[in-house]
This record gives sequence, C-alpha cells and structure tokens, in this order.
Amino acid sequence: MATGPTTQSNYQSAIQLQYVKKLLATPYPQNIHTAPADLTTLDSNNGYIARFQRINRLQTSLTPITGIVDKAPQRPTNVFIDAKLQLYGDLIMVESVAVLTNQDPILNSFTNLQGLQIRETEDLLMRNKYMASAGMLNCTAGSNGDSPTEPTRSDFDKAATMLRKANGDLIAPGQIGQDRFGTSPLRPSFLAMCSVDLEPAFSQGVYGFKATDQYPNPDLAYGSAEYGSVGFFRVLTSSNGAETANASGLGRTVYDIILAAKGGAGIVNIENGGVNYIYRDAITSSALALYSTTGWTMMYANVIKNDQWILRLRATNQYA
Amino acid sequence: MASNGKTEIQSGTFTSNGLSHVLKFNQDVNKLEVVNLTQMTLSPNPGVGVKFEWFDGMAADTAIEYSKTNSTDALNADVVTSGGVTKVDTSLSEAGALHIASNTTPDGITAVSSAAIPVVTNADANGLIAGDVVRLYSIAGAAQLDGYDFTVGHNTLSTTTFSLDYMATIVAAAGTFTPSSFRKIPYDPIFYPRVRLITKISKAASAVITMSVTHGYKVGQKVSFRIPEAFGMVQMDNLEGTITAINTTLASGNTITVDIDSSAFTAFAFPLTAAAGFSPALVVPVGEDVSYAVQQGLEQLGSASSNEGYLGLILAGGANSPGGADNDVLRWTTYSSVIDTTEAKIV
Repeated sequence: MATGPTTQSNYQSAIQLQYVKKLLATPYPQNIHTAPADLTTLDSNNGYIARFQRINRLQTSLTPITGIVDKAPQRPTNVFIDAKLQLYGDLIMVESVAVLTNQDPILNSFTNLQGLQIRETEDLLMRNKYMASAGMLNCTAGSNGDSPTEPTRSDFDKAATMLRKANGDLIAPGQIGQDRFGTSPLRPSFLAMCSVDLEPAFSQGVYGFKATDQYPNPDLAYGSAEYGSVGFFRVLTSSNGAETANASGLGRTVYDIILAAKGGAGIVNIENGGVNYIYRDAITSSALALYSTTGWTMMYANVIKNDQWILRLRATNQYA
Repeated sequence: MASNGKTEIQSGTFTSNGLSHVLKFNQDVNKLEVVNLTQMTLSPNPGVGVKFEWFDGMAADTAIEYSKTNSTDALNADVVTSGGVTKVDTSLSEAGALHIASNTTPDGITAVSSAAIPVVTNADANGLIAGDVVRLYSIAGAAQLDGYDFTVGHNTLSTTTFSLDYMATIVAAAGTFTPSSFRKIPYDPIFYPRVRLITKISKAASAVITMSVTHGYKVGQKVSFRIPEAFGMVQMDNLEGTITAINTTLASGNTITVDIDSSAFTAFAFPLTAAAGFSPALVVPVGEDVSYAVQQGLEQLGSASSNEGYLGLILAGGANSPGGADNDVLRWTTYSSVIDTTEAKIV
C-alpha cells in the first residue's frame, strides 16, 4: 500500500487541459485606405466598366461685352474615367472530419475570418491603386540627407496647398474647442493615411502635430486608426500602410503618406455581385460528404476620380 | 481553377525568343511540365534540355532537366540550380539584390557616362537583360539619379555595363562612385495605368515627353503633369493633355506626344547632382479623351483602371532552360490541385 501525501504529480487528473472556448482576438490591421473612397454600385447585367465623367469648369468672363456682336462661344470640355470590374475571391475547404472533431464551430469561425479577409483585401487593393496611379511628391524639408527626407510640417503644408489649389474639399469635420486642459480646436481636414512606423516621426519630428488625446473630443476620431492631426490633415495609421523597401536615394524604405481630398477616390461594385458569400455543405460538395467549402467572390474595381485630389507624400523615417 | 479536390490541367504552346517566358495563371500551380518539341525531334550535339519538370516548393530558378546525351536520344536527368523555373506573385514585388561597390561585394556602380544615352558601368556581373528596370542609389557625382527607376539595356548591355535607355544626358559624373549601387525592380505596380517619371520634355507645338520606365500609355488617354521648379518647365505643371501619339521603339522611344504647345515654355532640364533632393517630374494618368478617341477611331476602353497583377511561372530562356532557345517550340502543361498534403495522391 502506498503511503504519503497525495499530490498532483502522483495522482493525475483524467483530463489535463480544459479548452477555453472564448477565442483570443485575431489581430487585424486598420483598414484605412478605403476611408476617403466613395462607393458606386453598377446595375447588374449592364457591362463591366464603370465610366465616370467630369465636366471641366468654364473660364470666367471678366470683360464687358457690346450689344452688337456675340462673343465666341466657349466649348466645354470633359474627361471620362473608367474602372474595370474584376473578379476576386478565395475559399476554404474543410474536411468533414475536422468539422466533427473540433471543439469549435469552425465553419462559423472561418466565415468570420473571411469577412475580415474581404475587407482587408479591399483595403490593400485601394492602397495599391494609390501607389500605382497617384501623383507623388517627396518630402524635401527634412534634414536626414536622403531623398525623400523625413516628413516635416513644411512638407505637409506644401501638400495641403497643392490640394487646396486644386480646389479639393475637406473630408473630416472639425471640432469646436472645449474647456479642457491640453486640448485645442481641430480644423476640418483632408485625410492622411500611412504606416504605423511613421508614428514616432509625427510625434517627435513634425511641428504642430496634435495627438488624438489633444482633441476636444477624442471619441470623434476615426477609431483606433487615427493617430492625430497635422495642419490640414487628420492622420490615420495602419500596419498595412504603404511602404516600399529600398526606394530612397540612399536605399532606405520609403513610406508613402496617402493624402486625400473628398471625392478623390472611388470603389465600384455591382448589384448582386459586390460580395457573394458561398457555402457548399458537404452533401453537395462530395459524393461521400467528405468536405465542405466556404468562400467568397467579389466584383470590384477602384479608381482615382480626380488625379489632383490624391497625393503620395513620400518620406523616409529615421525612427523606423 | 482547381476546385473540390480535383486536379485541373492546363496546357499551351509558345515559340521561344531565347529569353525568359512568363506563364500567367492567376491561380496556384503545383506542377509544371515543359517539352521542347523542336529539340525533341533532333539529336543535338552538344545535348540540350528537351523536357523540364518543376514542382511547387522547389527553390527559385530551379527545375528537373531531362537532356539528350550528345547526338543520341538517350536522356540524362538532373536538377538545374539556375536557369529553371521561378514562381511569382506580382502583387508581392520586392526589389532584387543590392549591387553595391564595397570591399565585400564589389559589384556596384563605378561610373555613369555623359553620353546622349547614359551608360552605367558596374564592377561585376549585373545579371540584367534588356528591358529590365533598375533603381539607382547614392550615385556619387550624379545624385540626381538617386532613387530613380530606369528601363535599361536596350542600347548598351554587357555583364558590366547597361544603358539608361530613356534618360537625358547628364553632366559628367566625377570622383569615386563608392558606395553607388543598384537593384533590379522586378515588377510594375499591379494597377494600370501607372504614374511615370519624366526625363525629357521637348519644346514643340505638340510636346513630346520621355519617361524613365516603359510607360504603357495609349493614344487617346488623358494625362496630367507635375513639373517641380527644379525641372524648369513649370508652365507644364498641372496641365492636362490628350496623348496623340506614342513611340514604343525600344532603343530610343518610350515617349508620348500630347496636345500641349510647349514651344514657348521654359526649357525642361533634368536637375544636376547638386540639386538632388527634389520631387520628380511626373506623368499622372487622368482618364480617357473619348471625343478624341471617337474622332480617331481608337479603342475607347484601354485606359480603364484595372488590376494587372498575376500569379505565374517564369521560365528561364536558353538551350538548357525551360524557356528554350530562339525559335524553339515548347509545349507546357500545368497541374493544379487544392489538395497538397503529405497524404494526398494528387499533385
């Protein structure tokens, strides 16, 4: 007969672990790049290219006319901007045995994952569109000796002037000042979207940067994505912010700060085809019901609707 | 597209030009077979590769090669570690290896000429082919080129030299070039149409614009210009024009002609080395001039924003590579399956 104290090590429980069914958070980046993009939905069964038209403004007429001879008539001009819808999609194929044996309702979990995947896909497609087609300017007022330099207030002011000179409208509403220590009013602003890597560059290197906690009402910021504001820009950051390795004059990573005025960018989908969720259960997927699939398709296009209202402000970052 | 556990087979034929050939799929491919139909019917001496296989997971630029023994039809099998097959996803484009002039890796830039078409000299094998895009860094004596991308090699190309095909003449660079360096940039951004950097603009009734990298624009497109003060021709800044002609001649072209009269503008001048640290001059795509396109009988939808990214396989060119030698006819077959586990029987 064994004698002595009974401990965990000499008297094991039948089951050593207990599964905690409350799932841990799946980290996802902030989807910032679609923030300034308008959504257009095409009618179904009516083609696959969205055509936008902009009619250019007329020249003003500042001199008096006589009552005898007509002026030469002005001929308005226009430009068409097209965006081709393309099909995107992905799927997960799940063995029936996995569904039967997992403690989780894994098909539900996978569906949730795919929902997040779709939004991130949209966001990255929009980011990549900016990177391919938007005009750029380099930060040049910094002092790190690279081309582009680190971002400075002067660079943001220059970019703001470009957007203002192009008559771009502001996107984000302002905030009226309140009687709270350490806060100050917030002006209506354009949006600036960039990598979280640049956050120290803003807080330590950009004159006049205002963190969200210095807003009169931080609750009215763009959620966790908003890092602060500088001049005419509300700054949204994401771990998916644009960056290009080995792209500066000295070979450093270049961070693209996407600057947007209202109406500068757009997303296009199609009626009944914007995003389709497709679940095929095991019975219909396999003669022996061996697996099921959960997937999505999306008819999608994006477009820069005004080339002067979207800018890439390129910067290097001494804090990265 | 493979689905529901089934294997999908695709096949096709191409005639080699001796250079790399890209097979675009927009889906994953698990296995590739290439048969060189031209060489298969011959008894080459020395023997050349007549069949190649590649499996997903093999290292980049490798393949299993079946080559005919000299002048006989007997086959030898071997794994080639270069000149094989490379899997690509152009949405994940990253710059190539750094060629830098240093004591440890002395293959960087040692000179840039002041010829009409500048020629870069590098210290070791550059591994470039005509049409590649190269990004330059820290060019001592020609710092205005830092960070710029250029299409190279259509005019001058050797293992130690390459031309910047569409660059303006630069002021002769002087002094040491250490640590001047370059990287190959493998792919364009995935969305079309793309912004391009300007190297030259003519003063003419219809301005002619040259860009540093092959532009891909089409007649009838509307484009806008960003011309910083450092480039001189500020009157062109933010002007919008319709492309009335393009020149795609490889050696000296890569221009667009627009309906903008620049003859009275200040001359366009690419900045000098001392001016480095400027924003580039740009062509920015705007949209389509449909009226012009209709008048000229042009295709109207070519400028639509679209995603040109792809998944694919690059078949290296050459007699012992799956891309084949010039004029070889090659038959390829790919196999795709969603099942790819250690137990699976389908590959």
